[in-house]
Amino acid sequence: MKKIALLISILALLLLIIACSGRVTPPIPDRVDIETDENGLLIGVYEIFLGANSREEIYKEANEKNELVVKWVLKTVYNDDGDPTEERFTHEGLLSSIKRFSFENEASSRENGKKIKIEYFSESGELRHIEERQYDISERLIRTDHSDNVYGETLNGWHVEYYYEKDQANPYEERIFSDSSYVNPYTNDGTLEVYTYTYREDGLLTEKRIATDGAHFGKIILYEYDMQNHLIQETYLIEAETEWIKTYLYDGDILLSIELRDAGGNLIKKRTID
Amino acid sequence: MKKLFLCSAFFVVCLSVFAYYDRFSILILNPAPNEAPYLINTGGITAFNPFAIREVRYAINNLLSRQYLRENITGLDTIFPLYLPIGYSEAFFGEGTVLDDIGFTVEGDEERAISEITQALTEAASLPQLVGRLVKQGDGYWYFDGEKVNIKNHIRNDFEYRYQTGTYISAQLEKSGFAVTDNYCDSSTVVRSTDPALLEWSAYTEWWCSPMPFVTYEARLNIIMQMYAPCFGNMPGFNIEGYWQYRNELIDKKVNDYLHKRYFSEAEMRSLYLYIIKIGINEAVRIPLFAFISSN
Repeated sequence: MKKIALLISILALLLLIIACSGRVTPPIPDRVDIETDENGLLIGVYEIFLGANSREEIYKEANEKNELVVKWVLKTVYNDDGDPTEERFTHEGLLSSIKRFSFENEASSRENGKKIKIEYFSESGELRHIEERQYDISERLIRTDHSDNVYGETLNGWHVEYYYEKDQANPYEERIFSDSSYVNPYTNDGTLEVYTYTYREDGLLTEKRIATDGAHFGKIILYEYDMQNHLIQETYLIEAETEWIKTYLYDGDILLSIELRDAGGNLIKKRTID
Repeated sequence: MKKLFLCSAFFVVCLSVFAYYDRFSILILNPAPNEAPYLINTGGITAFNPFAIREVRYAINNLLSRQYLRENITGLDTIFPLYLPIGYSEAFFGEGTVLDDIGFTVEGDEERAISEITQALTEAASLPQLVGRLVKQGDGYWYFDGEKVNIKNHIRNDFEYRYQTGTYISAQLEKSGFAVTDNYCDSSTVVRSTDPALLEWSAYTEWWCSPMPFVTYEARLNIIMQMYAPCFGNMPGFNIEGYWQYRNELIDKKVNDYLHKRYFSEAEMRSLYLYIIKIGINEAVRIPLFAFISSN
């Protein structure tokens, strides 16, 4: 009888140890990216956790003692259709923003020109900002409206218009307009910023031009692809001068690393996908 | 934060036409030499500058009641308390985290601010170079080498609201144990055209105009950079050759990383943006006070 009691006790103890160890064992990330500086020294680590309906990215920055400290966490929750329903961004331990997505008629689709509403909440749960995305019948984003919600009052902020060539899936131009009294001296309307996009025949983006004053395209990003249509290089130009080049390295279809180099080819930093 | 929100909300509700305020009142402080022992040679005379102490500058955020300014400044249509030199939509851009972290209120906290200023100066007074030279006397004033520590507050008197703001700041600084000299002026010439090391000025309330809303991270950062980053050339010293310059390599580096898009993801960009704001607020060379709509 004593032996049975002893065995049961040992078994219970073992179960307790397993249960406890299960609690303290941190989950294993689905992907770990390591960021290093120009000398190969650790800058930080990205841990990506992929759940059934969620994606969580945690960035841990290396401090002066080379200890990894959580800098920020970006968590996105998706519905069964794969559309995001909530996004939370936490920065240095403080909740920076909460976005909640809702779909008209509770349908999580972008069909029939329906709208997606994204509400931004403060840390204490107050609705502070509203973003409404409007799609056309081809499920293309055609307009985004932004307004601040302050104490129940809605203040118009700005809106973005997207322009398409015939049945092209992606926009060739994106214009941001102020909805306040601002008049841009260059454009004589409320234009704040303009982006233009150029695509290959197969639809891959090759160039993005940015006019931060709404008129002058002083910033350009060029995109290059390999034979398998993997993005292999991004070149960022300011006033036609190369600012940096990002190089993407693959093993088959698997991305191995991204290197950021200055115009002289000097490594600025590198992200290695583990 | 909630009080700030409610207060802001009340005044925002009053607006019917404009969605964004377009003028900013921002206090700028002279931080020269911005390092211990906070002494600077001004034409053969060694002077002590309390605003060279970061903690003193930062405490001024609480020393000033934005609520008082809102209620007592006349001649303006609508006033909003301000902690960042940019407009609304902080929920969209995630700046709330920094503001929540700070925990400022519209009322300020005069008692706490004076306590923090006193503590910072007491610590400074224990530095070998300042022992016996920097003391707080029974009259409540701080003395350096037998003279009251003097603050030169440059006050614009060409507009009533600027005059009112400046005199309020002087009164609050006086409560902190400084002898404040009000220097009335009608321009920022002294601030922008004299070497900060000469300590011709200690404080000045700037008025900035922003005719457009800042609706992208980059647009907002351009303002943040202008107000906080030495690399833009708008910080004390103003990049004028031969003048003492406010330096902050960390904020310059982060701003440059941001502007040149030296990041791999949007989340990284957002983090960088928030970090820059945090440094700027902590450095407190500029202290945003309020914003207002103006039609003139």
